[in-house]
Amino acid sequence: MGRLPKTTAEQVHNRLAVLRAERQLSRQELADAIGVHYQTIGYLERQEYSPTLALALRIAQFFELPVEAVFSLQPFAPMSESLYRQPGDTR
Amino acid sequence: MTKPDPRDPRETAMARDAAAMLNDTRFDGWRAARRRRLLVVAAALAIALTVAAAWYGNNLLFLPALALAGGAWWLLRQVVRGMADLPDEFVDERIRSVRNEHYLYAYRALSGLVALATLAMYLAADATRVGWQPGADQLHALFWGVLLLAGMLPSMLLAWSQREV
Repeated sequence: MGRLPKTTAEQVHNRLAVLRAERQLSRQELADAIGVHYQTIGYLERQEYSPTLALALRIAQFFELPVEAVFSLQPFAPMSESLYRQPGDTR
Repeated sequence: MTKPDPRDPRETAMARDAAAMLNDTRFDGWRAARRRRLLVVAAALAIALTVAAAWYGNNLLFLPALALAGGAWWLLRQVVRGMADLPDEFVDERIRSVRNEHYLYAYRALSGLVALATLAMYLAADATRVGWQPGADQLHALFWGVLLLAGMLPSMLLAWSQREV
């Protein structure tokens, strides 16, 4: 198997920005809650840093969601598309 | 980041100092990418000046140049929030990862520079070619060059490369 470029091979997508906005949390508040520096939240939201499993689990636990609802190896569909998808729409 | 043991006053004080450094806002004016890069260039020039002053035995220039390099070192450390130096338990996993990566680059760069410098001195000292011998001043220059680079390179690389510090 060919070696993937580093950026593609290690990319983990997340819904952190959406979840943080939904809960009306500042980066500092979320950072304090999960025990990281506030800039790390920015790096995670911009997907410039992929968290370790331990941090991913801590974040999922904080939002009381399964880890796969917050992190994915595939890009997440936009929230509007997920919410308003018509029955029978196979997109 | 691990929580400090509240029963240990030394650990609590260290955690407080580390948190103050990581959340510092006094040097935000220096944290814009352009100013950070200017600071890295200034630090490199200060190191070069210190080494040159030591090499030529210019004591009048050496101490001010060393003070300049020391000042640049201190400012760089503040600008990158001590990311290159704080103990592991006081920084989060991203900072540890970025730091490890930059220490690797710094190690490679320093090894290369020291190898080049010693090779150049070795070749120049070969009596059959140039007939020059390194003296105390040249060893002095090598010592300060290695010391300053070893201490400053990780912070210089962090200041140069990071999108946000």
